[in-house]
Amino acid sequence: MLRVVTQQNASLYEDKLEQMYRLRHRVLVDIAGWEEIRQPDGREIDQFDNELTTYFLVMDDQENVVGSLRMQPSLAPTLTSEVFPSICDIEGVPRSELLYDCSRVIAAPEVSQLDGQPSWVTSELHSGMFEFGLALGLEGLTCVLEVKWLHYMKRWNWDIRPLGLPDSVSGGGSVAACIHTTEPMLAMLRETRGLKSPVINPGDLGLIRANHDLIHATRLNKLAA
Amino acid sequence: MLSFQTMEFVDAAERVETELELVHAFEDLLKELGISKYFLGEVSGILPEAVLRCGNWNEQWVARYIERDYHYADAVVAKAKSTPNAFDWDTVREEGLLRGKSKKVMDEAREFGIKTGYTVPVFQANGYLAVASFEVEAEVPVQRVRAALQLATVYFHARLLAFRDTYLPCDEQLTSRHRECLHWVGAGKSDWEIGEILGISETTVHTHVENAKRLYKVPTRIQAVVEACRYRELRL
Repeated sequence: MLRVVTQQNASLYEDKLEQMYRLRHRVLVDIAGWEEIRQPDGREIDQFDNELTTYFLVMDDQENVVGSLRMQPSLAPTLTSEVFPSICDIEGVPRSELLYDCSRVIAAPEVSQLDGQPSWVTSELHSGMFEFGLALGLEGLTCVLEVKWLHYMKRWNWDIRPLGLPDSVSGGGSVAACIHTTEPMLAMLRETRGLKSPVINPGDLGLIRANHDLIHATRLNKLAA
Repeated sequence: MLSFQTMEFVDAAERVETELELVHAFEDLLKELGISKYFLGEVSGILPEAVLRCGNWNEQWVARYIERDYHYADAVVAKAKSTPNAFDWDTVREEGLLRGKSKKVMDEAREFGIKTGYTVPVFQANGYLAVASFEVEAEVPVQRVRAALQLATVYFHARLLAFRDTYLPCDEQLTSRHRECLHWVGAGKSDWEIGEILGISETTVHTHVENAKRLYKVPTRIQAVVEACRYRELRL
């Protein structure tokens, strides 16, 4: 089950967000080995976890958080714009009301299947990304991902366009890209992942829209102007 | 500049209508990058011979490599299996991976004029592995050339597979019901018997098996079992 958390309902989800920070630390630091973001308290949290962030939390039957991602409006500072601008060397970091930056897409190791076979948790997150984009009429979602994931996404026929050359300092390569969230893409994803219905419930869709309007009506458009 | 040329290829790869156009666009990019020889092939043994093989590497060498199953011994393939990252062949040497038969493969490649290279691994589900290797003339390519090769390979590989109408396990995942039914088909059971074993109706079993046949585009039940085994979706 996927739940959406924004600044409007965050107070109801404090313990779940807490679980999410710990899960992120476990997956990104303890397992993937990103030592530079290690925190002494075991909670992975940074400046892009703020009042503008929209979270997706995937929960198992016991209501434990087993997967998550976050979305940041691209008119605000984002992980891509602040940390990875050097790999957006084609047209710079795109910013618009119609783009969000998606980051920290993770699934608990207990449920994640490696090797390009998405688990149910990953599939819910992916479906949620497309549903989110369609609900807001977005052009797409920018993100920074490993080249390996770009291979998978192309193989799933996603409409994903790089924003620059990968950064190959470590040989591995992170690449910035924009995933276009269109109706046919969502239909195809549902078909291939066996998802019968939307993963975001109507109430949460309303929340996403209200939050989008609020943050763009107030801070962000002024910021952009 | 390199990023724009690479993006031109990425866009072309989406737009082209034939495999030949795709290959030309890729080779044009390689020319800009100062690379003349390349090879893209599947090395995990999942796909039938030659389904995914492309490039302008020395034909005699490629034929010899395939005939003698060199991919089992090749240190470049071994390295590609162990990392999602692109690498220079020099690192294979430096890491001491060249011993015995793997050294022989590399030495023979040299006799065919392939001195050193740069390899981009392509991972997919269920152990599928392809490699794109680029022959490097004199010195190792600069960082940005490697980045361009890495990115271009993603779009080249994906589109090439689409043109060859090749399906990979990740696209055609069987459900656990499909697998159960195929398992019992392989054991020689009829739809009715399988239905009894699994506690579902004969018609449902029939539908599952038909779906599996359709997924693999094969005409018979047994072929569906064989395909499922070959794609490691099923073990008998």
